[in-house]
Amino acid sequence: MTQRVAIVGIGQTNHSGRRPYHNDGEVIYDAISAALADAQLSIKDIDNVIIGDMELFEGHSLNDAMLLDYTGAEGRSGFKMNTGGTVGSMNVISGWYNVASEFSDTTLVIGWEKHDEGPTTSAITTIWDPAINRPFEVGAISGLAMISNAYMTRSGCPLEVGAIVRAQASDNAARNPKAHLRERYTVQDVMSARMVLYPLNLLMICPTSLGACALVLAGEKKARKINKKPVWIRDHATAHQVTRGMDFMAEAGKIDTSMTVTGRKIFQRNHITKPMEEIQVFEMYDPCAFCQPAWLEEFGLCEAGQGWRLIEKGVTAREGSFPVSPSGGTLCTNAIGDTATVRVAEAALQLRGDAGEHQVTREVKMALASGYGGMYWTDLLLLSNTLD
Amino acid sequence: MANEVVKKEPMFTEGYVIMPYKYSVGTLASKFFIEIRDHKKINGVKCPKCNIVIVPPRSVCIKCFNKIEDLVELSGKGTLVTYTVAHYDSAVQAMKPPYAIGVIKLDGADTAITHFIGEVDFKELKAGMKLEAVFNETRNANILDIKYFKPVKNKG
Amino acid sequence: MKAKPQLELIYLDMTLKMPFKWNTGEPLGEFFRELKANEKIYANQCPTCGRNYCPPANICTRDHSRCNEKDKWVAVGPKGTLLTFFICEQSFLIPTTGEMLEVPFSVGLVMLDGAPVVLQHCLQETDVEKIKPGMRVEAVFKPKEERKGNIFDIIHFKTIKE
Repeated sequence: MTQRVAIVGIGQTNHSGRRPYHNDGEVIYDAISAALADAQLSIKDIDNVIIGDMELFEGHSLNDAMLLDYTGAEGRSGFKMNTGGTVGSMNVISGWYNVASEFSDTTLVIGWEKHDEGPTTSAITTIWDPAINRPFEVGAISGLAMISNAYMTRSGCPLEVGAIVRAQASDNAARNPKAHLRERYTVQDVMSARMVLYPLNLLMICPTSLGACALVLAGEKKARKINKKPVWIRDHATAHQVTRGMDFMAEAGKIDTSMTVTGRKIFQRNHITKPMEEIQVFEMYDPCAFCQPAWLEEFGLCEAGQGWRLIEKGVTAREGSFPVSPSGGTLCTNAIGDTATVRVAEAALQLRGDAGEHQVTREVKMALASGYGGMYWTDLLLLSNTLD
Repeated sequence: MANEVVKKEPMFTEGYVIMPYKYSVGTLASKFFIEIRDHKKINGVKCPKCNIVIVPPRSVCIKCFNKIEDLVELSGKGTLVTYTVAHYDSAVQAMKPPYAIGVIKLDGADTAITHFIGEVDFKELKAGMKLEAVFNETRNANILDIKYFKPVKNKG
Repeated sequence: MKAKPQLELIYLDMTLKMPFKWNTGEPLGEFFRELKANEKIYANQCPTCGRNYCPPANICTRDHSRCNEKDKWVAVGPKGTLLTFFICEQSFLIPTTGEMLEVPFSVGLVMLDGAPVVLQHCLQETDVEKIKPGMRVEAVFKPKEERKGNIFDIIHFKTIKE
């Protein structure tokens, strides 16, 4: 009672800071329509719908119920995911469970956010323990600033590397019509931006975007009939990390993080010994400019202390030998509930060769996509365009 | 030792979550609310494919998943489908209890709208009774521009 | 040619205001009582695996065993070493008060003397030039009559010279 699972339809809206002519359901509907059109299916062909976003961001609860007509879930099975930053990838993983178990033949997965409607920094601040940590947190970014600062101290990574990452991301995003911030920046531009949370300045943190991304997942019996270029979900791993505030920062660099755990699982289970050769592209959920160097190390892609040196050498650029986030990544587009779904969608587009102007120059056979958030949790997915 | 700890005064952290939101209703619903504010008219939307009439408006048809873009005019009168009377008070309610809430199917519509029922003796509430909308003097283009629905008095 | 008339768009302004009263539970309650009564910061240790927690934990996150016996408690601080920090230059709405955050606002992770634990709290210093990971800091407490048994019984950590 198991079958392999493929992505057979991909749809995402253009991302932006405001979209005053549309409510949330309408934004979602655009992404679903695009995904169904890509799969050449209608909503009638879908038997299961999974949706997810961030709690409180739009100021209403149970929004899966409120948006039922827009999502096409009426009369169908499915549920809402609510795992914070990882919601967009947990959506896809839940869809995988539904299809792999043969519970569903075709599952529609929707990640979305309308970031412009609420004080999202305040909303995120409510995820922390009010008795201990909440008064000291500044949305999602304060934890990232802490991690970045600790990484720089630990590895000797200079501030400029963050600017290189952001400048590279801006060039990628300029090529991606779905991205939110599409202006090109030089390293100098990034270095001179207004400081927000030291060491992160305004350009080194992800924006607040709105948009939606939808995927159609199908079992192997149907997948090839639906789409000539199915993208297979080969494996996935999730790891949760307990961080009441940042209690265990004292052990940073010495203990396993959620990235270390998921990376190790994926590489071991799939007999991958040289990940940066056997895998050709990584769509990383990189909400601040120091995530790429720090997490290349933590995922086990390179040795500790080498992450920022690889970036300096241009390895992670779109034309490099191991491109990271060639879509522009989370640094340029972040409608949180859809951010990790977009990572999977963009990795799949790279595998299909359909990424257009931001297609990487290297031939892609296997790709990684990650989700991050919900209190330092990580999802990691391994995708490929063949089943060999 | 552990028992001794438990007997001391319980500790709490008290506070609020206070957050302003700005919710955009969308193009179609904007037209709907502007009609209520400017002309005291409750419109519906009609699916061009299956002809279902939906109030309050949704821009995707709940039956056939088709996109809807246009309003159709309705009379503002309707029939009570079901109702309740609230006796419970909480911080988020827009009216002081007791008050009646009804599900009202407007003439010409296929779906129903939920709102307060006013100018009525609760004992006289009955499914199937005819109701009409009463509007507030000051209107701000939101659903509370409709003050409530009241029973239609028989003429004569 | 006339320009297409701009449609007026409707927004709903609303305020989410949710009061909460959060029971700190034990042993965090005891941690706050000690802050309030004795200006003491406590850490505890998991009786099974020996991991240290500050504020004291009742369940060890590593091995899931309970650790609420007060005899595993040690007083730590008030002095410590700064591990990492941030300085916030951007104000935002604080949801617990409805007011805007006063900036610059700096927060650090302090490794307290006495046990391998980290406490997160405000720093008195907000000048980036004057903050370095590795520098020595010390907790500053509110006067006794102003202490309420919450984390703000400590005002902040100040920089010290040793």
